[in-house]
Amino acid sequence: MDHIAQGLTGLIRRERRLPFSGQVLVKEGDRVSPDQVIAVAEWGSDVLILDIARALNLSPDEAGEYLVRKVGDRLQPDDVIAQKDGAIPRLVRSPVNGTLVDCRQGRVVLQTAVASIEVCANMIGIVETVLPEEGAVITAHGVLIQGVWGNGKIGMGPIQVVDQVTDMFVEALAENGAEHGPVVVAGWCEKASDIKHLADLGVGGVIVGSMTPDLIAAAVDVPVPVIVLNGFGPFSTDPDLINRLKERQGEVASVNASPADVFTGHLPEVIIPTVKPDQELQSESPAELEIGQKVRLLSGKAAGQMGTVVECPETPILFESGVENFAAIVNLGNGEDVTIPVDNLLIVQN
Amino acid sequence: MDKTTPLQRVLGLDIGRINTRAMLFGIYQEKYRLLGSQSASTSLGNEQSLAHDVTRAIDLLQEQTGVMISRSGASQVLAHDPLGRGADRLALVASVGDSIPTVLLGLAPAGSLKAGRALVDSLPLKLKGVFDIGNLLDEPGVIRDILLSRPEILILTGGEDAGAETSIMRWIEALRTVCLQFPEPVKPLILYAGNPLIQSAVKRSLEPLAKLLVAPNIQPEHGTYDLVPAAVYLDREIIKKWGNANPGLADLTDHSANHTGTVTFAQDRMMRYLSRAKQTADNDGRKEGLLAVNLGGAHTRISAGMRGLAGTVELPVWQGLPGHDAVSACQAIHKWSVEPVSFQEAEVYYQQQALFPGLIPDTQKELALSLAYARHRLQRGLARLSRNYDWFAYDQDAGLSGHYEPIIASGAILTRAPTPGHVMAVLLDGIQPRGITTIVLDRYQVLPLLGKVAEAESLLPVHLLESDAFVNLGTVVTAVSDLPSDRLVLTVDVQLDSGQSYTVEIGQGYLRRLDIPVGVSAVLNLQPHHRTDVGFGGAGIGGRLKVIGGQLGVVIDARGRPLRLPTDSTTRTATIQRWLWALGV
Repeated sequence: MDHIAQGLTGLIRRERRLPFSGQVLVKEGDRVSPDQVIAVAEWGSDVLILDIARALNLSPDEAGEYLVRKVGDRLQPDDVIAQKDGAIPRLVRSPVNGTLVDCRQGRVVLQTAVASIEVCANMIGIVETVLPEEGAVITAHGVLIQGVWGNGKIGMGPIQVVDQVTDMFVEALAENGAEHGPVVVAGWCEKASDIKHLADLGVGGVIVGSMTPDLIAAAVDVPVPVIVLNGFGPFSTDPDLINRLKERQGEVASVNASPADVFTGHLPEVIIPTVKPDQELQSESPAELEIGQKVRLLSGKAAGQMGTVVECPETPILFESGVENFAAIVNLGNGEDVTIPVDNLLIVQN
Repeated sequence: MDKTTPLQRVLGLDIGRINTRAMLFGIYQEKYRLLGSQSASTSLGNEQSLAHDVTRAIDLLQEQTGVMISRSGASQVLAHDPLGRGADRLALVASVGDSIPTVLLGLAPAGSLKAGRALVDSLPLKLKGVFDIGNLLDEPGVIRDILLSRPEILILTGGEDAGAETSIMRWIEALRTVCLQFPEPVKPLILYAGNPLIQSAVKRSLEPLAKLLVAPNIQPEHGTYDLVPAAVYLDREIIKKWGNANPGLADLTDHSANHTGTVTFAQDRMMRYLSRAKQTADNDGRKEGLLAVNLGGAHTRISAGMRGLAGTVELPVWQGLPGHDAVSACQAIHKWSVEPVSFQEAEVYYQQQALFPGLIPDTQKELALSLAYARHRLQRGLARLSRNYDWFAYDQDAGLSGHYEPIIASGAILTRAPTPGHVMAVLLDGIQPRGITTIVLDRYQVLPLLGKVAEAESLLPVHLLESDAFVNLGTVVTAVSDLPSDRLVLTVDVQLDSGQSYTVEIGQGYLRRLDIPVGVSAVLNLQPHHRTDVGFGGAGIGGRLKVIGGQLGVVIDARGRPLRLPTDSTTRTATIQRWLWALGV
């Protein structure tokens, strides 16, 4: 991961696909919400195996001849599956609802339950294109804010910005009621109990600039989406981003906290739909590091701070660690310049 | 091309999760050499295609070597021509894709399933379930568990050659049911690698329902593995699946005329080759093995060879959501860091690395954290290898049993370490080798690629292994003794080729470096105390040892086995620092 969008505005387009063929539940032009299932695929999950050979007192090779239903038949409890006539007729009945899927070597297999995989919209938007049997392309005009870590959940709610999630804030939220399920955006969260309390209050999501690693377990456990924007540790949050979010306080945002995936380039993300149509989103993946780019420093004594690239030396530089690597010189905005390995920079697009 | 005509140029690509490397091999002074090596970060680029990163790496390689390999801005390699452009062959190894969800079915946990686990661990496969024949007592339950884990690969093994048949047939019936539940596009691939007597029955039952591969039995007789044929099939399937997820990789695979494979399997192949070569060379009956460790940004790969056998494990550095296995990793980082760090600092480091695995150590503290974690990774990988292969014995505390020479080290964590001493320290602490060994650094991570290139040109790896692509860090002599601290455990008379000589005495608990210049031959006369074992056949047995100086000369490790670190933080960091100083850091 070498770049991240934290405040890009424009047309955001996302493809949502099932891993295999299924049924698409939306049509072009439909408005969708993050937790709305847009496509579903099913496969058998539970089976019941009946030994009809034994029940009919036959050899496995003979038993198939006495089957009175065929593969694919839907069965209800007490439906006869196999029957052997004679002085004392023998019957095998289905004990459950199910579908006959196989009969071999004296065994009948009934499929008794199905599992399904659902693909949600994961954002507020409009279905632009239906991908038959697979999913859909969804678009939204809005602000895109990506994070570096997500807990795999999805949600939505009006934005509420605070500097830090504290006990006081949680108590105030509890007193004033969180009936609108706000998406709480905070620079920092210190305690696992705060994340749990926020989840208990039914917030639509928790977005933190950074948090300590010991909160990860709590963040994974809660049923609401949690996104970390910058990393684990004492990382400062971009004041520009916070100000822009404050301006959008109360607007509804969708939160897709599915984890980052290096192979697809996916990052957990917040999308705040905007009313007026915007232009296409500028590229989410710049090619190379350039002077003037806004970056977050991921190592060194200024780890976690934001800055602007002022120089990209052409030759490698020896760092305090003794490691030699290509570097960038980054101005931290307070007059201080730091030299940092280029691999340790995250380009921030906004 | 005529098969008897030696290839003039081979382009090698190694596409990792963090870096994409391009290497050009060619003939120089009648031997194959590495003409250049360059890397670019694997970013997936604007088109989310690996071809973008490959193009950047090739462009850099062209600049370095002056050889035009592809047209500007394209990953398509030109054919080698009389003007010296292009390459005869492209060989590609990859580790960029996700591990494939796999379920393993067999008979006994200590038998076929142990061999099955070794097979799974030797490839980029993610084990979602392991079931033995006892689990079939609840057949619907097993079927449900398999169905819900949605494996992409099902491996069925069990029954030695001419062994159990009935039990395997029960699994086949269960697998039929599993296959019938999955829709066509997600029916798992089934690899059957069990008792060969029932192969035709397996084909009759399963071939109509799923893609079936039938390989020779992975455990033809108890305790004997034959993983390679099954691994060849799986390696090919993994590359196909990665190609489906990323068309750029599929294009490159086509372009390489299928000389493409996973890094892990290619490394394993190379170790098998080296193990056999060593077996032939070791005609004095010694039981020595060889070891290769790779600490990349995303995976730990450990391979060992012994008496013609070889085994490999690949462990992802970070699994699932960060937080997994964090406690033991952070404790190890805290324990092995030469800079004083709190558990919390170790935790922040660990989780940040999980988010950004390509980070370069910037400060002394970051370097200390990185190399401390490297020791833990080695221990985990060696322990897993030991679990999978009876002939490989390693204990996380006591270290490696048996003699392994050389130990070939690679991976970004080691190759970018500031000094050879840092690399040596990590390897000695993490592996705790015994006896006499040589530590070699594979600077460009050539070893796996050689495993793949060998398919096209078998001479190339032979020449490369003797080239400066592999750096001799030094010979290590481990002196293991039960004497108290500071007592003399070993006396070494050093006789250099130049005629110069000197004597060094080493006390219990010390690490010493003997100054023997790079490439210079020397003879060491080792005289251990009668309670000290230096690997010459028992305690007190010494002898003469001919060595060639590596970057660190010769290292004598008399710190004892197992290594004992003080529990007090201050004393512990001081001890690790003292060891580093001994290695010239």
